[in-house]
Amino acid sequence: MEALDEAVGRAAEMGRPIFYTTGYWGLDSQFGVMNMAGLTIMGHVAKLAGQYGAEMMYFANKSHMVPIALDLLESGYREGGRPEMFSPDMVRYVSDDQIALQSSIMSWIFESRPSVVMQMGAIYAEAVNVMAAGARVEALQLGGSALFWLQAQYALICDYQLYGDEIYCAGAILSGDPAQLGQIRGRDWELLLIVLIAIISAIMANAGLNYAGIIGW
Amino acid sequence: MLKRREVSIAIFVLSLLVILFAEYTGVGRDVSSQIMIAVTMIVNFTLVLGFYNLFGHHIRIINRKNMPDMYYSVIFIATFLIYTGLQYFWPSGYDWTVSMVFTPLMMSVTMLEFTFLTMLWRGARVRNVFALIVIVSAAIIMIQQSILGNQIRPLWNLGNWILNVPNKGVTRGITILAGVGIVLTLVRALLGYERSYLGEVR
Repeated sequence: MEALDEAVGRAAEMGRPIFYTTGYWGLDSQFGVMNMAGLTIMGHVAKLAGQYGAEMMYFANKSHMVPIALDLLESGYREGGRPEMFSPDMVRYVSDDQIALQSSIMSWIFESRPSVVMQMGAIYAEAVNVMAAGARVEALQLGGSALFWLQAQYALICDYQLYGDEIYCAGAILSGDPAQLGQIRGRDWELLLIVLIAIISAIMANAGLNYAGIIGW
Repeated sequence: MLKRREVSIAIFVLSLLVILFAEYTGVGRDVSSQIMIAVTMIVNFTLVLGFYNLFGHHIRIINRKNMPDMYYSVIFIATFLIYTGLQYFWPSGYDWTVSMVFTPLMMSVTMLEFTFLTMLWRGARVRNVFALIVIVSAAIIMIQQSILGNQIRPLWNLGNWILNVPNKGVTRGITILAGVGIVLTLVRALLGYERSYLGEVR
């Protein structure tokens, strides 16, 4: 999360835009919650862009993301202190087709040479093509998704990555609100419990005990 | 007096609670399905906004007479008008265009697995130990899946071990973590902390 400052500062210094996408899926799918987390980070990046004076660009693959992204960018630039920098051209809808999305993004990256490429949310197969285009223009790359097949790809290509469910914690961390940060602590205890159950289950299974029968599942 | 933002949050929270309640108890499934239908209708209506955004962008390019982008924008708008006209006035012509022009073009563009791997190797950088582990594992699996790899027994066994032990373990771990994370975010949304869907910066 600390890299967000560095990334936006880099874009402002270089005078090149920041590219942001929440990927193929919208808020109406099974990945809606993941995209909600991606939008939260986008709002924070827009605020930083307003503070540093960097331009942003967002490509939408679902039409209902257009008004949400416009509102986020507008309020982000206003909060950042540069409302005049916001332009409706910063959000571009490119149809519901995935190939259209990835080719439009790649074309825009090669033309505009952004200094930062951020992919946060429910990204699909377009992720690698977008990251490869970002690598070609030597952009700083940030990735974050809870989809397991993206973890290795992000580890290979991105400079900074939110692993697994870290994207879901981003909203709470960015808010700095003690109540929300307490929720993250609660989640850590929950995960510790899951790990303990996994270890006990593995020991019991290897000892030949029917652990599922013991706990009545 | 409720403000516009609070009304939006109330609609979101109430709808979500009704859907969750119906899902877990089976009570009120009719109301839940009506909410889902309403969501689909609203999402479809937002296509008008997408249409406005997309056409606005291309019309601005044409007005600026920005070469060669202008040609692409003209082709885009012409294709849209031709497609729409064909669908309403000559459906068999529309079917022919889809099967003989659109589908072959899309198939040639897609080639998903090939472009996927090519792009991955082009963009890959070994920045740390984890990236090195990923790239070595990927190389082993790729060789294992080739005709040559099939013939080398230790390599075949190593590839299978990578797929069945560390890969499967990590997949399960991430799936569990993602599940916990979804609950975490939904609880924040239900409590009104998470408001990014309203276009609000936190």
